[in-house]
Amino acid sequence: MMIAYSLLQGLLFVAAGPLVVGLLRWLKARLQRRQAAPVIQPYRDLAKLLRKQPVMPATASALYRYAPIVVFACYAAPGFLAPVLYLPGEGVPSSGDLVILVALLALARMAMGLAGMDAGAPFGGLGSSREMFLNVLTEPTLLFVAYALALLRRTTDLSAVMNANWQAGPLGVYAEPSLLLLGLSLALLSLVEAGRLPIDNPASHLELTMYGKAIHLEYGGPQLALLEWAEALRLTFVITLLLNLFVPWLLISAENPQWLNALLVLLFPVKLMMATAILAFWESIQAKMRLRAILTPALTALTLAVIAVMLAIAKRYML
Amino acid sequence: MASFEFYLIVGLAVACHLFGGATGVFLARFMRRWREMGTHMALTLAMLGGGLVTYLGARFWQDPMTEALTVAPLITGLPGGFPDIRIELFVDRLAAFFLLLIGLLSVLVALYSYVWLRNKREKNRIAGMYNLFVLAAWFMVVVNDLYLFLGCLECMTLVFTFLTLYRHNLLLLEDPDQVDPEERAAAERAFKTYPVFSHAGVILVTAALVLLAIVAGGASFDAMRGLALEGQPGLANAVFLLALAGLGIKGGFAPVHPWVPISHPYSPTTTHALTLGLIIKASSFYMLLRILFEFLSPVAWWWGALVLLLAGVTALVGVFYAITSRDLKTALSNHTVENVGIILAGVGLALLLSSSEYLDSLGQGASRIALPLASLALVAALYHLLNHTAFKSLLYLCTGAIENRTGIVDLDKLGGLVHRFPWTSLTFLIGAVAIAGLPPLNGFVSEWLTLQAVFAGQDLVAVVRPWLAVSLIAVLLMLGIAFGLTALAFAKIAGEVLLGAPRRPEVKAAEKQGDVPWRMRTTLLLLAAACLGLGLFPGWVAGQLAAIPTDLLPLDNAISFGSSPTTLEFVVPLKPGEVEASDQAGTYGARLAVLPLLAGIGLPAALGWAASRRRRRRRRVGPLWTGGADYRPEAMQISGSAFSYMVWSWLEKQKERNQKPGGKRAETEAPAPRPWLPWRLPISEGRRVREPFRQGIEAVASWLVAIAERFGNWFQGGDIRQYLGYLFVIFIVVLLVAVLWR
Repeated sequence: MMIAYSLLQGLLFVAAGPLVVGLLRWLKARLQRRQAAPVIQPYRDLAKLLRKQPVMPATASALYRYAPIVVFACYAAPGFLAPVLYLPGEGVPSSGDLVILVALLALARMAMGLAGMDAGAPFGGLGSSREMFLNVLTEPTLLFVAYALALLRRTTDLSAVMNANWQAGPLGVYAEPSLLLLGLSLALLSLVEAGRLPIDNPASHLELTMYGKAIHLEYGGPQLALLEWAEALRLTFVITLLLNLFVPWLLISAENPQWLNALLVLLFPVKLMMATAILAFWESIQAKMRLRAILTPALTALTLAVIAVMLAIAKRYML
Repeated sequence: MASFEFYLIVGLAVACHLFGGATGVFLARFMRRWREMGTHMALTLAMLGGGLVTYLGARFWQDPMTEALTVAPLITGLPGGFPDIRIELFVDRLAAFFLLLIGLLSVLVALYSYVWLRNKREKNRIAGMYNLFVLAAWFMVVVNDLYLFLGCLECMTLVFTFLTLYRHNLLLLEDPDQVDPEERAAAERAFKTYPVFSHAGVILVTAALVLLAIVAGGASFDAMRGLALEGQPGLANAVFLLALAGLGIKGGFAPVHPWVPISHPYSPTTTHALTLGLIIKASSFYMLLRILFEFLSPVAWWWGALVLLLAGVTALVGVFYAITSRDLKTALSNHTVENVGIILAGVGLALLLSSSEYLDSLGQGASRIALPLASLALVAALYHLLNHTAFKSLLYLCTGAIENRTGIVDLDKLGGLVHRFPWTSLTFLIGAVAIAGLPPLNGFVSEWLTLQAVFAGQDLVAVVRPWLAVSLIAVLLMLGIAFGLTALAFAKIAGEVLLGAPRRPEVKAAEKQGDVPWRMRTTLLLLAAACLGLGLFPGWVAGQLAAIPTDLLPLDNAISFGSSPTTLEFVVPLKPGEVEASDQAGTYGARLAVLPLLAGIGLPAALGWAASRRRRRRRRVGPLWTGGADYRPEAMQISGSAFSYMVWSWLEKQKERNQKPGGKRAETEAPAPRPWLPWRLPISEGRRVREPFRQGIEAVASWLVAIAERFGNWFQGGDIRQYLGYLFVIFIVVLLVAVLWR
């Protein structure tokens, strides 16, 4: 039963990814009073790219073909492993450990980094270098987030953490200073992780300012489709992670009555839409930062997470 | 194991390695045409001996010794009440673990060496010395007394000093005008630095062990076991500091690591795989674990904190200079320091959790809470040691294969090897992903376990002194950055070496040779399979390793890592007294299930593969987009220094950054005296980064030399009256001693 639920949830997650991106682009365009492409445009783009004949650079190896698959799989895996839509009950063994997910994100970055070097193109290497540097900035913070959760909730397993938050109630989550700091830190970090403004401009067409997108330059056809899809999934994952950690009551749970669950299923797109609207508004008032300036938000996120850990330790010590 | 069989196998293994050493070193001396045969005999004997050592390790892993076997008293009746020198052998699980690793790796490296040593000068001597080195290494692990242990350590130092001469001797044979003077200086520095550092380490270890022997009243480790030093904190602290400093030098811990990247890259790449893949850890962690957990068992509270901080710094420094290194062998040597740091983090955590003050403060239930946690940390450390042996020796042997095919190990010259050397490249990539700690390979498992041990150790530390938690936070911060940097380092290294297009014509020319022969290929594939296997069956491996801490810590039961071989799970209690299973706050548990993880990655991967599979039309190959210009691989691909610019640029002096290479200032300025340890490392043309640790060691060393010079000049004044005065003083002292002694 669990396996069927995870499978369903994962497939839904994979399918919903482009929708979030389409929605975000539509909202941003409307906020900036531009003509917007329809919300389902990303699906059309993917379908078009998947039909195209792939063209490989002469200097590329087999890695060029398989790296996008790995990247796609790593960003899709959280949908199958961690709670996105459905929260399994307590005591159900799960494999959505936060440290494992951090490693999956790093694996995706590593595959991207290698793919960028594979063709030997001038911009690909540049993109790889920047991607790997962003990984250095995000990984310690994510580990501190895991540490703080381990202190507060005695586990780093995401479904157990969400269960604990679910049971703690709004007071237990929003009156917990270290959890609040953690939320702030994670929110900052998701901008870095998902490459959104002000860190990276996903709509940029200038090669010199691109991070991960510079790696896409050598790609085309189905491989590019996978990379674009993976990017959409990455964004969807960070949004759902933030939502589910800090508003876990909107997750479908075995402990809810049937009618509530049915309502929550309908509420899921609304929830995503709200989060996307906030992000669209935020992106509309931001300008892109210089590469070196990214250190500031990244270190802020890290500091917030470290303070959250210290607060959690202090709380344990005093009680 | 029956003692007769034991003697037979130990004797046979010793004989194999000794005879192998003799054939390699001496046989070819007399007859030039025996050189080939001597090499092959020595390597065959090394494989035989290694096989026997592996067998010994496997047997004793199953059924460890309970008390030491005394083979023979060697020297008795020493003056001054010195304890007898006797050969005692003792193989418990810790020793068997290292025996197994040394045996297995030495067999693989010997198999590989058949190919690597072909057409090399001095091949017979390298093969012979390899035998002696392996012998000293595995014998060091089984002996049970001070003298033999130190003897083995010293033998390893001497043999390895010979091996670090390798590159220097090759340069001597070349045309002196052709040799780059900097290259020659570096090769000279390699064999001059190693013995200095290593002997400093051996001296400090000797001091620590002799102190212990004096208190224990015997040179046997049996006498030192269960030595209660509780009443003498000063002595225990002294032994701890001496042992940490000495074994830290041998193992490449943070402030005293610079000899690792200076000496090792100049040894032959085959032995390099054994020394840095395994022996550097065997010669430090084996004794460190024994001294810390067996000889000095009540641990002081600050030891763990100190070791943890050292571990963090070690990891960070190692990976940082791995990124700035310009050749593959130096980069991997630097990166070994990083992994030593990760292993040390587990050891430090175990120390922190088993400190006597901590145990006292927990009262009755102490052993039920703290010791499982400490053993969890130790298992994490040992698991990482095992993993590092697999992936680091794999990467070294891949480096050797690349060197064998192209003759080049400089990162900024290689490139595009993946097209013509598929096996080498595949195994190199597997090693790179494993070392970056990414699933589903082995590096990930031990890093996950180390992190979980830190998380589980969490606030328990705060029970004693809340600010001790700072050491946990600091080590987590440094390890987190080091993990991120490792991924960057190996994306850079693998990208530079394997991917893209060859940067030099000689690399392109080497492509005609094709991939490495079967003996090399087998070795590489076996090690790659080990990386995969250790990652896929974490539950089984951790369950096996959990037996080691039961010998080192006063544990009742080994910590359980679950029953499934592919799932690594543990639950440790965090509260004294009985804790119900449902009590969430009372336990800390974590679970790493490989099968669901593989399914979670595999399913979307299959989806992605199906979606991107070529249909109907064939894949087209087109030219690379270079903005309309002709493609020049040496200039248009990103260089390693540019790749990592964001990481190293802050350690470059601002003044140097603005100064153009070959500018006016560089010409007019007199050349600075060449430092003993060069601490401004070239990273690209005209760009250098600082190495503050080398700078510090250089400063301390030159200060010591200055003091010694001043004292020596005064002492050896050259005046005959001064020397007569010395004689007079000595005479008086001898008389006084003679009178007082009666």
